Amino acid sequence: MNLREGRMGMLEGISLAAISMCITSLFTLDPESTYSGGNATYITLPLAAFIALLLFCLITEVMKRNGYDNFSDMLDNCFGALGSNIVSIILLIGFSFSAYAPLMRFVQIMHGLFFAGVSYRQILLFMLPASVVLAWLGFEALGRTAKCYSVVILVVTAVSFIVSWNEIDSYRLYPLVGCSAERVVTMTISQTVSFLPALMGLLISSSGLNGRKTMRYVGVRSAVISALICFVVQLLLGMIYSYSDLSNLIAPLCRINHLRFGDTSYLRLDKLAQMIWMNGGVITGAFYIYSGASLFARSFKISDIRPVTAPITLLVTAMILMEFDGIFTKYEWLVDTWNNLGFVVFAVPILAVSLAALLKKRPKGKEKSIA
Amino acid sequence: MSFWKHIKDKVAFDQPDMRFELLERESGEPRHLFGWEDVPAQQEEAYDPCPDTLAEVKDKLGKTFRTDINKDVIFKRFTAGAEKIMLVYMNGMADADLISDFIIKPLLKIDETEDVGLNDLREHYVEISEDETSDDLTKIKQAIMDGMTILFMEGENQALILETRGYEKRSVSSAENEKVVRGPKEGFVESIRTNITLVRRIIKSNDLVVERRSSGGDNNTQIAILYRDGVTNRSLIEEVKRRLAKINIRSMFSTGVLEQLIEDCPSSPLPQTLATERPDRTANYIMRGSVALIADGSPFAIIVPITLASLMSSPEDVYLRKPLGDVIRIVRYIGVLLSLLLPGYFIALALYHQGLLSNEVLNTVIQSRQMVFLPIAAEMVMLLLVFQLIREAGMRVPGSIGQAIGIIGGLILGQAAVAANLASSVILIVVAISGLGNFCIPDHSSQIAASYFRIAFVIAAWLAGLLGLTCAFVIFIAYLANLKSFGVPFLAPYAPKTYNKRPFILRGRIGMHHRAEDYMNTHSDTLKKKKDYSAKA
Repeated sequence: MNLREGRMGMLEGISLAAISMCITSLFTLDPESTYSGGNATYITLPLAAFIALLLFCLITEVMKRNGYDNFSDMLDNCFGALGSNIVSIILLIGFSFSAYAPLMRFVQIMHGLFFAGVSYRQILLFMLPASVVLAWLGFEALGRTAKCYSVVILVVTAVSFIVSWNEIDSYRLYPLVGCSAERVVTMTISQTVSFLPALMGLLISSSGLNGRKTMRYVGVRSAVISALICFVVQLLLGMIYSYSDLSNLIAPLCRINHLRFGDTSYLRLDKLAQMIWMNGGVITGAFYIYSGASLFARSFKISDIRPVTAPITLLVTAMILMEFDGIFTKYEWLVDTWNNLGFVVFAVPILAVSLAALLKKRPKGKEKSIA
Repeated sequence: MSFWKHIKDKVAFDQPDMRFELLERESGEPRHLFGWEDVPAQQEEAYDPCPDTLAEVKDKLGKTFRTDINKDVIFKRFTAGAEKIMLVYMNGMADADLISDFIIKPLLKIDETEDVGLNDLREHYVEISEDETSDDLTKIKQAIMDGMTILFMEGENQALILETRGYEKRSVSSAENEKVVRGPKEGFVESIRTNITLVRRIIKSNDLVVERRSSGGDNNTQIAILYRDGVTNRSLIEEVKRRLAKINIRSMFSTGVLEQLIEDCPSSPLPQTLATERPDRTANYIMRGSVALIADGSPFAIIVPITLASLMSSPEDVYLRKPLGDVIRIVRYIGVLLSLLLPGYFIALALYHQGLLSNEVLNTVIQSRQMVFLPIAAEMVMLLLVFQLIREAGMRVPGSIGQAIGIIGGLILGQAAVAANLASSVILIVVAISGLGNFCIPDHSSQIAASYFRIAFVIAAWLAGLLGLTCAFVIFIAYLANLKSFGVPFLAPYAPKTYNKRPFILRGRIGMHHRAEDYMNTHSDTLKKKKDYSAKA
């Protein structure tokens, strides 16, 4: 099989997963819902990362106990060929939605901030090929590209906050924990959808990460780093903008440089920062497209991953174009459902497969196969 | 390769990824992936027994070398003592004085009554230091073509191969393309023997191995594989030999051809081998665990595997103190970024994001372009092409005239183009800066590759401003991330990060250079790591 996995190091894996988690959670598709009734994202996002991490640790522990090399093997063994295929298709749809979210968000940002006069299609014409090329080149190239960009994205984010330091006021954090505890819990659970796809991607490509042990190491560290970054960024954003402003802004992170230097010629590289974040979105989209294709290829025993990336890309493209053409507005419930219940697509298979594996008799000597 | 097979190899799916990988697994040991096969034995030519009569030998060699029309092969027959002798050598390839003074003269002094055999001649009479006996006519023919002199004796079914090579060759001179202020000046020449000697003179380590092979189809070009036995990764050496054994072309005269035949992705603009004309640089890489290839007739050595950092390093870096070496490297990388991105970035700002330019700069750009009839992006592409034209012309014209062409082309053409409203001064400055940045790249092939990428970035920026530029740059980084040189990722030691603490961009302390490159999994490092771990345990 040519899954184009290769072998990557731990830092590359951490960079890839962390970029995907941070970009998905910081550039949310629906800010109106995210910031409705008070900004509690600096609490809910780290908590969501923690819940996703718990699920990830559960499944990796079960994999260790039963000696499975990757998630796909586990599905095959626990659910059989048919069950594995069904779960793979469900997860493929989940990955497609996960790829759609950051790409759509950045298409909107590019449209809103740079290219108001052009259509989404024209913007997509440049972003999508970059994502597809990355997914086509495979896991190894994805990880290395992510590592090259991770430092840049981190520096750009840090500089953006440093230059807007004077705008920070703690009173804007009111109400401190959002509107209600119930809402915070609901948001926490629904926001796990920002973290689960990346962790699931690692589970699928564990052999590309030199085995289960390294995969677990990468997953834990990337989730912790992402939770930390999300906490800091959302807290600072909460102190720069009030929650009502946040719910109206298309991309608050892209606006913070503009607060201070909007009318001066002092800092004219701020738009470059937005381009760097957009590159993060491209990498994230590529990672999810690759992960979906990889799972599908393994499950359906397709010997080359590359033909599988094409239909997934088409699916993502169709979803973005449907949004642009206003078709999604007729089916707004679909997007809302994804935002609120998207985590189910990833969490339920994880829990189900873990339970099935635990109920199954441990294969003799299988746990030693990797070590 | 048939057309359909070629197409299938390029585009067909279901092809397993058989790329050679030189990576460290979780267990810490390098292993092969996807059932990579061992190197097949080099195909050797069939054994051809040497006849025991001189007439037969002359007849056979005469047919081989077409001596009826080819007068280059000399057959010298004479009697030494009671024995009939025949010397065969290639005129011009062998040193005639050496043959006369140290082979013929001593043999003529043998007393007529004395009964001598081939071994007696070898041990007591022939005054040549390097000799060998062989009964294989195939090997003998090759030796004649290499400039050796062959001594046949009537009644003996073997011959004496005597080292008498003395063809004309260029003497060792300074490296033309890799000049350094401090450090050795000498460069390789076209003779493989001289080049090996130049490297051996630097590497005094007894583990340096020079394996000779002939490759390149009918031409049988001699190729030397240089590596450190016990240090260089064994699978890397075997992979080099495997790729050399696979070469099947009509003729190969240069390392430039050789590198295209052995690298991972020959269609890539960036080279995956390092060509150097400096023995000290070659020796440095060999000491770090690389494999060097030297081909007869080429004044360049090929180093494998390499990374982007190797292409961006100059031999000068290690000869300077750390702060100076670090600053030079930073300047070089900034130069490369300017070279690649500045024209595209400028086009993106001028066409799509004028708000990012200050009013003063914007006014200057507008004023300088008021009379220029070409669109700004077309003007940029045209000037980049003109720059390449001047560069190419300067390189092909010898010596000082070439330099003069560069200056005249740069100054007069630029001035005239601005005066004639063919180009604006701002774009000229941007092109000049990017051109200067291009010259910061030490490797010649990479300089040319950078020119292609630069134009691609300009076109991307022309189409979609910063969006196009950054998307193209992501693809460029992904392309670099995907590239490998003999199984070593091109972005190592940054991505993947490797064990030793040698920095990627900065030169680092000389003390950090004591270990071999980790990404090559040298055997010395594997042993050292195991030792370290066991000490910790």
